[in-house]
Amino acid sequence: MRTLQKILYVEDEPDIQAVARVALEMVGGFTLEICSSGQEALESAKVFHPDLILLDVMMPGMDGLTTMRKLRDQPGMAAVPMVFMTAKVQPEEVQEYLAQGAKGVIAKPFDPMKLSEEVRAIWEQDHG
Amino acid sequence: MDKIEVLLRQMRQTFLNEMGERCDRLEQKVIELERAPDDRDVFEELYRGVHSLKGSGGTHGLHIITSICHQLENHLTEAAGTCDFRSSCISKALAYFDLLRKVQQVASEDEPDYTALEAELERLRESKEQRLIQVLMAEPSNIMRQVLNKALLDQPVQVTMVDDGIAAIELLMRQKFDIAVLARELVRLNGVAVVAAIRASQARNAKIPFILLTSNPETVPLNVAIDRVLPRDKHLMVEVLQTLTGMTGSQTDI
Repeated sequence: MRTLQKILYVEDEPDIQAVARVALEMVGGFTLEICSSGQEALESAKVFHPDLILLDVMMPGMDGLTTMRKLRDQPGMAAVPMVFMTAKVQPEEVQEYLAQGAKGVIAKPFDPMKLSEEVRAIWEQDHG
Repeated sequence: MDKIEVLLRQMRQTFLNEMGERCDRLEQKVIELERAPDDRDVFEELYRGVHSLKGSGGTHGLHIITSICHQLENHLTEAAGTCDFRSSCISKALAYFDLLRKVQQVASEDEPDYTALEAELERLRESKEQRLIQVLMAEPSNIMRQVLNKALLDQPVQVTMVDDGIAAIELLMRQKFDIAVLARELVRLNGVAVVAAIRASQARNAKIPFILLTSNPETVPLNVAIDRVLPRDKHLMVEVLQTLTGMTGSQTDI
């Protein structure tokens, strides 16, 4: 099975970005690229070539769902698993995200010591 | 302690240290809303700021901040739904920021105990806003309108003033009121005709109490369902205020 190494994380909140960096780089050992907006992610994905993308749902400007759709349209991105991160983890919302093509949904606030495990579990499920 | 946990703890402390400034900035937005309740840009900025604080607080493991901000978001959404950023609503919003500042102090202690803050948050959640009684007042005299407005200044009422019977009907057709006080003599259409038209309509105000102010109470037609007819004499102001304060349950000095 291919190993998960490069994660692109799209999140507009600097505090959450900083904690996620600790959680994914230091705890998880991943190579991480953080973008503050959907637009930034569209540019970054072209050069970073992530294995997996984490997307905040509620962002000013382009929201997570729109960002996911636009990322999918980019060459080489259709098969990259995308995972939403949201405080709204009601079953119907989760179903909607999965129906739109997300590979998983992670609840916010996340536990920085466990975030990597959650991401890895979604990756393994997708590549199992 | 693990190196990563130390780092996370330091980041949390930095967030807490900066939270006071963030609260100051958001409080300024609340004050701006009090001056300009319809300003959507200010509202959006405030709401985004509270939402961001909620997300950051939760990520730093400060779930009390998430709870406070969540409740504050609901409070702001309710107030925005009615464009109702009056002083009691503003005070309540500011009380949430005071609570956030208290979190800042408690969280910095060795063994933080948030029980008292949670109780305070619960009290804030339970304190219901006193709803303003919506009054439509149709009165042709400019002086009388000014006197009534001044007399009702401290009452929990929201008065909409017009001098015209047609304008009164238009308002009664499209806006909800709790009571209407109409002068019999109005521009374009008299007060009795306004009551008759609204009572006969399917409008949302068809069943609210109507008070008619007139110099000739004895000539008011009996076949129009008017709840009270008040003579325009020296007791008029007292009668109007007593009727309205009877509805609001408040006290007035007149």
